[in-house]
Amino acid sequence: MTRLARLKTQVRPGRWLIIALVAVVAFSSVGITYARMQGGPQNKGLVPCCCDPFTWVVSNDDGTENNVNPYMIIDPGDDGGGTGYDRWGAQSSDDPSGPQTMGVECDRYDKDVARTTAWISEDYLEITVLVENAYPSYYPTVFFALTCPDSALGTITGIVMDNDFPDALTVSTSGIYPGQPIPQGEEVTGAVHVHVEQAAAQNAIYMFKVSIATECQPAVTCGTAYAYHADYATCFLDLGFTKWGWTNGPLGPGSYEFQLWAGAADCDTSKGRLVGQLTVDYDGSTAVVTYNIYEGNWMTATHLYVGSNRLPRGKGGSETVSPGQYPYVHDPLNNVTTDRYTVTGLSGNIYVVAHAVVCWSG
Amino acid sequence: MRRKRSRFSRLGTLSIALLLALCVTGVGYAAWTDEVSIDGTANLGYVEVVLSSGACSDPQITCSVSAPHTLVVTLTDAQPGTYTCGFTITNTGTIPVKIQNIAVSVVPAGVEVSVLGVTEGTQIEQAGVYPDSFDGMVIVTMQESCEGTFSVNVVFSFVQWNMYIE
Repeated sequence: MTRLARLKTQVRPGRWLIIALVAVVAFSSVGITYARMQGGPQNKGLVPCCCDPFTWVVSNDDGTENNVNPYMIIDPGDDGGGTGYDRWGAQSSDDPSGPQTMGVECDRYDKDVARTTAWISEDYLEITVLVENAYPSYYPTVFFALTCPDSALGTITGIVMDNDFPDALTVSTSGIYPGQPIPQGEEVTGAVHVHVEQAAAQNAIYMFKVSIATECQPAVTCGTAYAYHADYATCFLDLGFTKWGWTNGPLGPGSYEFQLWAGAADCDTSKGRLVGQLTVDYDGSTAVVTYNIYEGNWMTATHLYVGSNRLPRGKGGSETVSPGQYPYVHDPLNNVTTDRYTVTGLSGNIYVVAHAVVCWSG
Repeated sequence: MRRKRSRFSRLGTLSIALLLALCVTGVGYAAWTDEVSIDGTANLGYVEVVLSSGACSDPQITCSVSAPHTLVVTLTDAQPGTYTCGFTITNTGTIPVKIQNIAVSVVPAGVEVSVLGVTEGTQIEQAGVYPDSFDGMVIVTMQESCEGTFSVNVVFSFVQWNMYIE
């Protein structure tokens, strides 16, 4: 009996399938574990990510009132004083006795006994809070801000509190919540409040951790794009219209390649984004027009005019540059990167006005 | 036999493709999710007060400290008059404290005991910060003579300063 024949009798294909499925789960777990071990995406390389998520951190008992733009003073009252007793000097203030709201003074004792400092790690992924010489009823607050890259929309997907000593410490957050959006280019602010309870033991060391899970998705920008050929293009603005775009022609039979520019206000391509190309194959009676969009971009609509006049005619019979009135329309398109029209019944020289709604991340 | 080999091959290829796809999914997940954390350490201070006895006014009176914060004043064959015994309260901890209570044990008839220098509510700052200690005095006034020995306990209790109850 050959090896394969033995294999046939010993291992049925169904068993292989189970093994394969187990391996699939295992390997996908590897991928996700990799995601976790990375500590989140990095701000370098090819991986888009939530980079430098913590932008600043402020303790309300480190002796400094922090002025953070655009919020003004984050922690008023943290003035470095110690009214009736000043253990830490300028490195701390009268101890907070209640939670603080950003920008609003909180209740404080008349003594500076404890101190709280906070700082952000070099990779901006972690804030460390150090509470020193604490005692029951001490109540410091640490403020912070979270952000996503300018090109991304973020969401706080979860907040997990890890506190092994709830009888000794009460740790809470405010200002952030699961499901909270992080708007593109903006930051959200939150606070961690630590309350030392009566059950806290003297000389003890208590640890806590607040884990905040975020998700960043690239923001989508969409713009209007027109075909452009340096040798044949005439700007709509030069034809008396107020909108930018180009008509291209006259084109005799032949093959032509055009650039597709998005957002080229005033017909100035230096202001625009080159998002793809358009080809026109015209044999004298039929024109095949093909849109090809570069990687990272996609189309949600195209509008095309091909004819012997420089511009299409609108409902009133006059020239128009409004894409919605072009004779050939594919709208909507399902985020495609290519689109094609075949226009028949043509003769002589033609003009082409090709428009697309193009979207991209960022 | 060849057909079987072909089936295994297809199955294997399919499995590998799935493996790769899901690994990529995992890595892709890495690209778009993140977890940040706030790690805290709270170091607690401590309250520690040391009571020590001082000099006494006469041989008939002595004083000693009994744990934790009890001053034991002993008189032997005391005659009518006033006897004093000094003491010192020192905060050796890291938290300011206040004297919550000063309790004097039952004394024989004709004997009065008072404490000078500190009162309930007196605040003693932490070690190294003025005033981190107070000197006080126990005054025993004898209305009449008393043969033999008797003791008076003066018990101090302390709390961290913000826990003081008036």
